[in-house]
Amino acid sequence: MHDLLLQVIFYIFSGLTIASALMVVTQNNPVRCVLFLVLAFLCSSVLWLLVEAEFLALILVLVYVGAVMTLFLFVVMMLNIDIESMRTHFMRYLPYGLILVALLTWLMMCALPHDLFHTAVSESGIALATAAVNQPNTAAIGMVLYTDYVLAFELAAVILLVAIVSAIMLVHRKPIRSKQQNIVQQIMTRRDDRVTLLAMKAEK
Amino acid sequence: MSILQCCLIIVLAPLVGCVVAGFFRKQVGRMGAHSVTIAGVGISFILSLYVACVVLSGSMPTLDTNLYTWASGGELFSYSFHLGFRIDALASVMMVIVTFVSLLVHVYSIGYMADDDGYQRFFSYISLFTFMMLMLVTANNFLQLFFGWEGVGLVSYLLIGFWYQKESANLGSMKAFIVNRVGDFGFILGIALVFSYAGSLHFETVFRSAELIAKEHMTLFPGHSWSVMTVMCLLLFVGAMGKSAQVPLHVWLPESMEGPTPISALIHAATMVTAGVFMVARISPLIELSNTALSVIVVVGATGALFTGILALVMNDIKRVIAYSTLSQLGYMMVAMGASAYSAGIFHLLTHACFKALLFLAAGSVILGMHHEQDMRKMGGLWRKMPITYVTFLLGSLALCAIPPFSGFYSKDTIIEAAKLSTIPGSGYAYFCVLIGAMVTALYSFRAFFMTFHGQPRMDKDTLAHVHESPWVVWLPLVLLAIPSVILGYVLYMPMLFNHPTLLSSSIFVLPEHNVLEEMAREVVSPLQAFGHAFLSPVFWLTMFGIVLAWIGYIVWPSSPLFFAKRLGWLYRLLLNKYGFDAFNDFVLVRGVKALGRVFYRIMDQKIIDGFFVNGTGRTIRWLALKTRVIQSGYLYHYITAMVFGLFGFLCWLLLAQ
Amino acid sequence: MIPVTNYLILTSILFGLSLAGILLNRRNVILLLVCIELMLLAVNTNFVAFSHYHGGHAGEIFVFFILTVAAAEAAIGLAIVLLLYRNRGNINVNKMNHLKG
Repeated sequence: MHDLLLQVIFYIFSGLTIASALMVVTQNNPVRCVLFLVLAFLCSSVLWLLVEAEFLALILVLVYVGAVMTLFLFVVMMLNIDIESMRTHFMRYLPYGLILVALLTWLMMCALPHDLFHTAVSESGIALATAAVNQPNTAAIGMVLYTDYVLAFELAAVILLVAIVSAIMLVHRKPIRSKQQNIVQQIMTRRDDRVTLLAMKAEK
Repeated sequence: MSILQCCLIIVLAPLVGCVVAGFFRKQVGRMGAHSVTIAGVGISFILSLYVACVVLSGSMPTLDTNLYTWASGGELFSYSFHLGFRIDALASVMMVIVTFVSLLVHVYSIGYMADDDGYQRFFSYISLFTFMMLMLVTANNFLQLFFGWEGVGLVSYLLIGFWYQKESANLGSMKAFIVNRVGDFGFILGIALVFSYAGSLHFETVFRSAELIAKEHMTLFPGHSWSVMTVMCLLLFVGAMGKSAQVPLHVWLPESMEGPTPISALIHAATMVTAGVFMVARISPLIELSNTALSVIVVVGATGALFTGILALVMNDIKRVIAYSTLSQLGYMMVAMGASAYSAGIFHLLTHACFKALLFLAAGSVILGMHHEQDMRKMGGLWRKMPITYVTFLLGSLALCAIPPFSGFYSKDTIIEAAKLSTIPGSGYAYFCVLIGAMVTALYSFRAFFMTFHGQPRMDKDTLAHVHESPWVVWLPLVLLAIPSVILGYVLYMPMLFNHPTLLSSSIFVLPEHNVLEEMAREVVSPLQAFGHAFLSPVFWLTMFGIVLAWIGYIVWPSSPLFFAKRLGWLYRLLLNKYGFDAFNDFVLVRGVKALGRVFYRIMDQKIIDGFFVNGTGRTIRWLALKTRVIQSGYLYHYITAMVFGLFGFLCWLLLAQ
Repeated sequence: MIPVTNYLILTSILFGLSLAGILLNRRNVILLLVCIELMLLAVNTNFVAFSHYHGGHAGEIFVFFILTVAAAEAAIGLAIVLLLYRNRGNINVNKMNHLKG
């Protein structure tokens, strides 16, 4: 029963993920694209829960969907995007795209021998994970993160800092109508910039 | 001083004259130019007389020394090229002739070229020619001979085209040079063959190994084996054909009359054209061993002797007549060579040099007197106005026609006898040709004589009033040449041809079965006796018949030539066209080469090399770039597609390549 | 339990779809960034599945960091999109061929 439930959930949610990914790719309206992406993430998060990665699943929803996708929506709505129907173009190149995808998928299938993963997910590596199974996922990650991978953790922080700085730097604009004085420019003026003498005929 | 030093001075003195007159034109002026060159050639003449006396008296052996090694190979090619002299009887005789005629021409040119701008250049050139010719005759190896050979060809080109502003002069000089070149091509092949079979270019070495070479055979065309000696001699003879204007390479000599008359006398009568004859005499040890070569020489010479002589009958330019006469006499010399009567050929060369130069210079004197008019139809009755020229021209003509006791008789008669006695194939034909040629010679030379000096004056009144004898610088060489034309034959008859040993016997090799002079020597006693026997031979009567015909045709019945020309119109036209040789050359060779050049230019050069290779590579690269440019579209999705394909390929390789 | 192959098939389909989305995109740059996020999602799912299969937590740590970097990259990418819009007035991918030549 338990297994069957897992299977059903898995198939439903993976089906939803794939469907929403398909929708992402084929929508005209960019807002809809982003919204379908959000759906994909949510379904994915459920799938991750099935693999006993609760922490990551919830982080996915909180951080990714909550922050990054919101950002996407902000930008999408800020920009005045032409919504043109590119159905014809899309239809023309669709076969090529599908062939490419099929090829890649087949390649990946070839990479895996048939009998590689006969054992179910949970039946292997149990000896290693006996101690870890009893801890909740968060604690387990925490145990490893701050001891073995602390350097990577610090670096990740630096990366985030860099991202913030660069994002602001890129988009920052100077105020256009500022009335601040530029002393250097004021001192370096020449007479010719300010005064022009004209010779004009006297009017009668 | 030693003979060797004498020879060095003989050869180099004209060169010094040439350099001074040529490069220091302004410094020495006209007087200086002719003085220096005449001094140079004069010294050469005196010294060569001395050398000839020493050598011909038999008191010294042949001098054969190498003076200077100008190139030598190392391990790969262990032969050394030398500069050296070979002074034997033949060379010394030739030296005397060359310097004598050259000296007289130098003196003559003072008068002839007096009012020409290129005075110093002329003297420089004729001195250069003398130097080259002397190098040729004193050479002791084939390459030095070839150097002199080419040198005289070059100077001939320079001198024929002396008046270079004249179009015809330029064409004539180029024709001479190019036809000569054809002969030189054969000559060089012959020299190469000599070198490859004898291993050396030195005359002595080659002559010693002549017997060995004669035994060898080579295949020129598959299936036909030729004797090496025959091929070698034939190729060397091709060179002689070019230089000595044998048929069919004779076409350049008439056009060479575009040059000033002194050089026609020097180059195209006495010296350059005889270089071929000299060379054939030089290689007599080789030619004697090849009957085929001898036959070819005799036939070619005979053909030239008769047929070019016939052409002289229809020429109206006085110099052309004498030019064709030279061609005919060169044919006689070659007949002598082919009949193995080398001494007779050289003897005829000697006498011919004297009387032909005399004829040319006398013609030059006439032309000078007639203010550069050369057409005989406009002359006539000059014998009263130019007596010295008249007498010397007459003496020259008598010598040319081989009237006894003038010099031409002794040499030409010997040749005709030799042709009769010779046994090689073709000598019968040669005898026939030289016999008829004697009559033809008399006919054309007296035709020229009568037309020029006798009969009614046909020129305009003005010229007639101004005609006078030429200055002494012009008639002195004529007189000096007339003397040997008269007596040289008588004097040298026995020593040159029939004494034991003959003057040239040390330089010439004759096989016993070919030795016709030996046969003739049994009956000949003295020149006087030969003189007496002359009146019994058919040659003399044929000659008299020719003179009588000329007298009838041009004095008694002046309209008869025109009558015959109309009746035998086809023959007349054939002769005027010179048997079609020039037409053939122009049509086949000149046009052929021009067409070939055009093909090479238009198709090879322009289309293939320029269009296909040079421009084509550019165009191809541009086309490639055009096609490749499409890849750089600027669109991100194209680039990503490319990346994905690359990734896909890489993964395929990685995963599936086990 | 669910075999790993199922997850692999799922992620490969997701990856392929997002790749198709990038290649077939002629409309706007936002879609490009969205497809990148989708690709990252696929990869993350893969990592998580394998992490569970092998029992250790390395995969999950990896996902943690990938999430971080993905967020940073999304932020900067959107800033660039804004600049593009500011300078060009549109964000049509078809009109961005300034690399041509």
